[in-house]
Amino acid sequence: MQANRIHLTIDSSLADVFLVGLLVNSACRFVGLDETEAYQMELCVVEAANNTIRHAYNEQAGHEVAVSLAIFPDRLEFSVADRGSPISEDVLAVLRREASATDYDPFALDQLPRVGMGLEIMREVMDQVDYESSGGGNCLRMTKRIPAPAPEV
Amino acid sequence: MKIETHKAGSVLVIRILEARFGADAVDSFNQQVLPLIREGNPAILLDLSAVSFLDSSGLDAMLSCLKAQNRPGHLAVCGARESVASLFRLTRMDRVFRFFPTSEEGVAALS
Repeated sequence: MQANRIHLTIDSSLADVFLVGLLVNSACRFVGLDETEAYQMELCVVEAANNTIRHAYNEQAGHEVAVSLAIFPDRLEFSVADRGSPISEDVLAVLRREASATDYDPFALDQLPRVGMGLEIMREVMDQVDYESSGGGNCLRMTKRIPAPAPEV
Repeated sequence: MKIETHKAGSVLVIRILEARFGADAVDSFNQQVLPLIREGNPAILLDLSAVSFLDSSGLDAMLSCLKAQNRPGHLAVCGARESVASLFRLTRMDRVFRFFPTSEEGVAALS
């Protein structure tokens, strides 16, 4: 199936992540998502990029964070790739639904979760989230199905 | 990050003036807002009406405010647009924070 694609590389700086967010949001509005849907797509990609900068690169600038977006007629595909440290197993458990970052007592303020929330958001919003680490590189892929465009009359 | 504060009776209203409240804004937010909370204001209202993008780092900073407030029930959020409010629901934080549609309603409830 034919897709329109864009690849964007930013430096591993939290201050540059908004550029990725703006791109994703604009593309999502263009394909017909409403404000909240576009925000949630942007949120997932920003969370993935933040995680990469914080955990893969330990917040050190000077490394590449590669983001791609592919627009298919029936889905959006996003990826965020790096060549830093892979996501730890305990955080990946959130992605595999073996653990949850939102299973907490809202009245126990000292026990509220501080890790895994980004992956939990991606898992909730996206239809599919996969993570692969091999050959010194890591890649998080997210897929969101979108309604097919109405046929032209 | 730019913020604006004003007192409405006993309530300190903190309005975030930036459209984006993400990971890169958290340090600035904490440096400005946490001291205001630790001053002992009896009630705090965080006005998000100008915010169009909030991520989990921004949410975590707001959680720090809640923990710093001696009376957590007296810190609330107002003005969150639907997209931003959806993050609170996704993370179940809608169970943790109190929400009001407008600053006026938040002030009235917290006073």
